[in-house]
Amino acid sequence: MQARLSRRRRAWWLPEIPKSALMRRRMLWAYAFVAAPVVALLVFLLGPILFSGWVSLHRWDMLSPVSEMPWRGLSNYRYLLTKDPVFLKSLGNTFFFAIGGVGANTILGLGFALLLNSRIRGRAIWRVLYFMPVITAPLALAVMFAFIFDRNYGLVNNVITAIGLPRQPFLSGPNQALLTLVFIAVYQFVGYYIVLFLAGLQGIPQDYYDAAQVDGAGKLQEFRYITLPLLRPVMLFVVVTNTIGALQVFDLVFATTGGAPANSSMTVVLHMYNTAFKFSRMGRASAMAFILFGIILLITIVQVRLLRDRAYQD
Amino acid sequence: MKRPGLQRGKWARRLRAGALYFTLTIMLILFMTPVYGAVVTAFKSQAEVVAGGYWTPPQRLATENFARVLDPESGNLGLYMQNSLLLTLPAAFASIALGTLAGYALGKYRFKGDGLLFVFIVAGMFLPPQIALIPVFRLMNDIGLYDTLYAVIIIHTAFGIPICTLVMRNFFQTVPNALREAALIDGASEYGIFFRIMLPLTLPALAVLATLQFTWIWNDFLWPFILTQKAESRTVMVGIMNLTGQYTVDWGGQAAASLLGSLPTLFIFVFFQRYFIRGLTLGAVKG
Repeated sequence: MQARLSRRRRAWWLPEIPKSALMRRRMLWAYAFVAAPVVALLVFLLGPILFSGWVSLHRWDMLSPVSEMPWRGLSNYRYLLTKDPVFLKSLGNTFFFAIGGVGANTILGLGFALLLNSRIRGRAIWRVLYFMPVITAPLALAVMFAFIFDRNYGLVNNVITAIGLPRQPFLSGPNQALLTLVFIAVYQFVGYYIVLFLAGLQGIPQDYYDAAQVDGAGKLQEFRYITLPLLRPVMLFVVVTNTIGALQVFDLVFATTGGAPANSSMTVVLHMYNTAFKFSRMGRASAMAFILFGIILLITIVQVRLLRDRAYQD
Repeated sequence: MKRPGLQRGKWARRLRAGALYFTLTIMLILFMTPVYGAVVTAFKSQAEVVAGGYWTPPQRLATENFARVLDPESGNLGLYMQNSLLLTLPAAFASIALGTLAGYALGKYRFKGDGLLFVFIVAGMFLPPQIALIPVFRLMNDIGLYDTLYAVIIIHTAFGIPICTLVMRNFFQTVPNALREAALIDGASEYGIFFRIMLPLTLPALAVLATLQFTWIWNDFLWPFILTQKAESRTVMVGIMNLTGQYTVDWGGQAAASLLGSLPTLFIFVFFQRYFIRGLTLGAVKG
């Protein structure tokens, strides 16, 4: 009890020093339990990331010894942000992909969750069916959609031309490729967000709605003043995780367009992959990874602030 | 029951239910269309795929696409599926085992630096794995594991630790301390408590993690693509991707390969969907 009370006064990151020998011995056991996972994380996660940061300040072709990498300071970052049109284009495309995907997933996910939350039969079955694409491998799905949206043999163009409309390029059209990718990504993941919103909706006590009905609130008011505010934690999780995932898109683009036509669907991670493994510019590629990391971190912090603060105000 | 107001309410309710099922069904058709397209294409002969009529069911149930992609001479998907399994099972097991250890320590012990350690481990969930791509590639080359399944197993183990730790810590926090204390008084050792009392209790949480980790690792494309090269260590996702290069217009083969590659995760999902959905909604609803 003493330990608990003093714990509350201390900053969360300050260690707690146990009083008795028994407690100290238990502490040793805790260290024994965390040792292996922590070592694994240090060697294969933190180590590589720190090394990546170091590489981003150098020029490196991967083959020459690490000790002989020529120092370049921040010039990799400067080059990317001012002189690399493909990087800036890929950054814009990635933002477009993320904003389009997150927006559609949030609206459709919430919409369908509301539909499924009303009294319907076989909710579990609907849920499984919507969830199926989520567990399918993004790569397998991408390969199938490349066929479905193919300009000449594709299933969709087959239907479009059958009803007398002009053939569409979809993935091979500079103005349509990115939009088609957003569509495929939403198709794959919207089921996940439906399930998340559904779980959130079912966590809202029925009493609130009953009370609102007594007060004469309409359906729209119930949604605005009960459902939406109480869904904020789920909304936060959906928007943040979806944004992080979307900004890292790789499999889908790699397997369908490869960034073509004319880089109109090039994304940051694909450009990074090309820079590193096709052109052996490890410093520049590492700098890209760090810029992406910085952007993800920044966006996450902003989103958490925005959605949390408003939750407290309500 | 006979009052007109109630009667009207009943019809309005029926109408609303009808509209609801109608919308859901339309959406379901849209959802299932790509799946239907893939299945139909996979069972068509190459000649029939190229001839047109792509939405129509196959004239005869052709299994030649499956035979071709499984054949070691052309697709070799049998070996790649086997490799994927040999990679996914140990990696899922190791990440869950390490995550359980860390989760137990963080959920049931107070020790110096526990808060800091928790933040350090969970922060790993928010890092884009691509940052580690180049160093890990070089590291695996240096320690001689490049182009083996071990390289991919190690990396998936490490990247799985954060989520497994988080889930297990949350789980262990719900286990009453009295259980531990009773066992301590009875003279059980610390590892005895962990293996004989705590571990059997965690089975539901372990099932959640097993389904999640199996799916992530099986479906992953980037790491095996970067870390392996020769056919003997290629995974099924890399194999499907390679089909695109090999036969640029072999739509039937690709559809068959995609279906085969999706079967294991689909199987797991259908049988463990309760655990699966619980695992995926865990972070969201608890905030």
